Amino acid sequence: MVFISTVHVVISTNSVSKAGNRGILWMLAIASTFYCSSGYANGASAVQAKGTAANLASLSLEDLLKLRVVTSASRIAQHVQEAPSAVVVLTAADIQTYGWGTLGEALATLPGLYTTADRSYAYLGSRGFLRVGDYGSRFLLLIDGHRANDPIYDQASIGSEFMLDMDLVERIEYAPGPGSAVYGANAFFGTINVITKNGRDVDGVQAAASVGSFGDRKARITYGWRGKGNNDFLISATTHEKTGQDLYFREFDTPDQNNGIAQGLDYERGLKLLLKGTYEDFSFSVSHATRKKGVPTAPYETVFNQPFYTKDDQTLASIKYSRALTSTFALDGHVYAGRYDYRADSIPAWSAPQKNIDGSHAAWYGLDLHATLTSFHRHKIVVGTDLQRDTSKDQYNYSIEPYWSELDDHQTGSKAGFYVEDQITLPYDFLLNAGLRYDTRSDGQSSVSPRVALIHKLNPTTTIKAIYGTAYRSPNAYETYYAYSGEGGQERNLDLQPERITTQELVLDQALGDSTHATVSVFQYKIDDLISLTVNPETGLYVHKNMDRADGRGTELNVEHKWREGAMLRASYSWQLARDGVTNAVLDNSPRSMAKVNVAVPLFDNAVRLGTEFRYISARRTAVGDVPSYYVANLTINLPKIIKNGNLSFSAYNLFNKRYADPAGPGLVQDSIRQDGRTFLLKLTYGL
Amino acid sequence: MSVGVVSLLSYLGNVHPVLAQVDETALKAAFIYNFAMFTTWKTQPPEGAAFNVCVSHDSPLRAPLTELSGKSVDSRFWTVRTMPSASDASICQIIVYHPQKDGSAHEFASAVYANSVLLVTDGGEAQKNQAVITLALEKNHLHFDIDLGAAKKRGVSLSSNLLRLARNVYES
Repeated sequence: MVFISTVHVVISTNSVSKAGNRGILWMLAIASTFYCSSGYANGASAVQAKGTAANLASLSLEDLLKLRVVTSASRIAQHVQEAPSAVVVLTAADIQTYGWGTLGEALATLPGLYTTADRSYAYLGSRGFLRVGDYGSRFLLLIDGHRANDPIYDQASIGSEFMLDMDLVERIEYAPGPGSAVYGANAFFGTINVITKNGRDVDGVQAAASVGSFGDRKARITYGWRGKGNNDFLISATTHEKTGQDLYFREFDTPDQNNGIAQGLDYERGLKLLLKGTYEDFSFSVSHATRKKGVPTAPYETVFNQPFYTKDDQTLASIKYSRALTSTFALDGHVYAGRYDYRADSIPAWSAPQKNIDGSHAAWYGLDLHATLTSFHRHKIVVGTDLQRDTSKDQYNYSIEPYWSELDDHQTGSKAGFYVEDQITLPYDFLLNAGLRYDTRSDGQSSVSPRVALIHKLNPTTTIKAIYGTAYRSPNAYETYYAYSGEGGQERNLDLQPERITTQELVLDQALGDSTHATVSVFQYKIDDLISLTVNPETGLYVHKNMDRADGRGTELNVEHKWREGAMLRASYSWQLARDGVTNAVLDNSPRSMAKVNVAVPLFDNAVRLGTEFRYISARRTAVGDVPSYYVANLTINLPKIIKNGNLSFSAYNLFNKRYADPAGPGLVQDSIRQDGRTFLLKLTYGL
Repeated sequence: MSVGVVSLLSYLGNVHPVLAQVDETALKAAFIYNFAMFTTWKTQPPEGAAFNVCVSHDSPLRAPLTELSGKSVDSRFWTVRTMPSASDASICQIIVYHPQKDGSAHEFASAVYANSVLLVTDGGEAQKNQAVITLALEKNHLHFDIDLGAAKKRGVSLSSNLLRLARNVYES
């Protein structure tokens, strides 16, 4: 009762002296609930709260065998961290508790990570480094362990163009730091692995429908089936559509440009399909997603307030085989294929009213085979190979009426990677993890990526890790081959080499008492051969070149606490300084500090589950100025018991309607893009 | 997480870094449910939609096993029943007993049942306790031993996927 009245006071406060006070008031309101909530709540997540039989029964035997039994009264198991990185896991329960609608919204709550959006795509940044428009290519995005970055832009799609409906995500694993020693290209700042649900997690038919602000509507139908042993099947389809808003852009405020108002151009619609199954030692998966998004910002010198849309289509298919041949030798293989199509329809200013189509098409297939050996005492060795053939990497650009082809480029290629990783148990509670990968491509580029981590368990509650590693990002097809003639045109650069990052990190993992856990990390990185767009003085055309350097250092602190009644808190603070290696100036779009809090509170014997999150990002430079610091608060209320087999949730995003903007990328006239104010979402999920 | 999913953790160390608190009896119940998934019963009781899991009324596993009620096994519904006398136990598909605690454990173990039954014990020594599957806690991890001779005697057949995950497999 006290909780509800406290919240009421916060929401109805209209006069605010300083924006920051409101945020603090909000946090205090949540803190007061900890003393008022009653009832013993069941953990919503299989492993984050108390593991109940019902939750555990949905795990496979392989996973159950790995769990530690805590026979004492402590609520936190011995936190044995053997990973050569501070891997963080977000679960399906978190996604539902906090109402994350996209992968980006989930990742933005993690320490050191932040997103930037330009009403077209969403981009991910880490440790103070985010170049808008670089398509998030410095992160490796995996879905169930297979690469989802496309071969044209190497994009890690984290916005609404992401291939999966977030309802189908079982968990998200994020490993910060260089991951090329195992995964090869693009695991530059981190590796994101999104693991999908299985038929057994749905066990029947499930339907979901949601409506939200600006004509946001979504519907999903899923069927999951569980058979004997590991046999499993899941099929799901989601359709989403959003009308969007009319948006005002000061830079285009002239009478002949509709006074700066882009009408009805922030729309989007799409479809996401997933089909997967397991039979004995084999599992297969096919996913397909398509998204059409209106572009209201008139980038690349297109006519303002005229139709401009982008369409992304991606299909991924894979078949996996996994078998323990002996008790010390396991083999995992997977064969995969993919297809990607991108298209942008616009009306460039120089050719209006003639339309222009810019697009790309890629098709690829590959094989990844790795063996895990534990036959040598104290060693766990993984040896593997990753082969991929790109049968097409095409880029095109043409105008219609009259038809004029500006670009029609076709490329093929292949690449091979060989990796080995050994986890060695040393005496005196030391663990050494060493990995090395060699990658070679048909265009002659090759990379060697090592990584070493030394992990030491000081005592039952303290673990320290020292990590050194390098990672690389190959120039993508766009940077290498995209070209068009004429004034302000662009030319290819076949001499582009991979970018390289070297990172050193020191991590301290500390359990504080029974229910609290803290992680502190200090890092430093150096990036060489950073690819940037410049002008070739000889031709006057734009060209991509390995010409920049960047370095960064900082610290991240993350604390998690669980209360007996089931409430949970996760708070993080990060400080980072990222500078240009040549000029020593602080990089654009690089916040100096970030603070995040996520709190989940079960109420009324778990009939109500409250999830609230708060995020503060300090000021960031833009191309010509800066965007001020901002904070955002989101609130989601879940009612899992309101109807049998159903869940009703209500979310308010940017609860305090804070005005904030993200720096805009190249190609945009605007210096920064205003983000949405307060929006709402109502969602109903029902299982049969 | 089905077989074949490549988790980052399988590369980076087989440890789940998320704070995991696992209760012993809940874990045992989850194991028993999984055993059911990997078992084929050669003869079934003729009627009924219930998949009967019989356990004594004061067993610590009774509550977590009951949490799984309604889950489907072989198109029947998981139902937990109090252990009837050995002579009436033919309705059970799974019998869970504790060799040290259940005074009549020996009776269940040596009785002959009209239908196939999966005998699972919590603790005790495999082969001696006459169970098909024996659960054992070793260094804070739960393991299980399989007695193939007992399986044959009880008319159940276990999938090779289950055998490969067992700590010990006895032919007897």
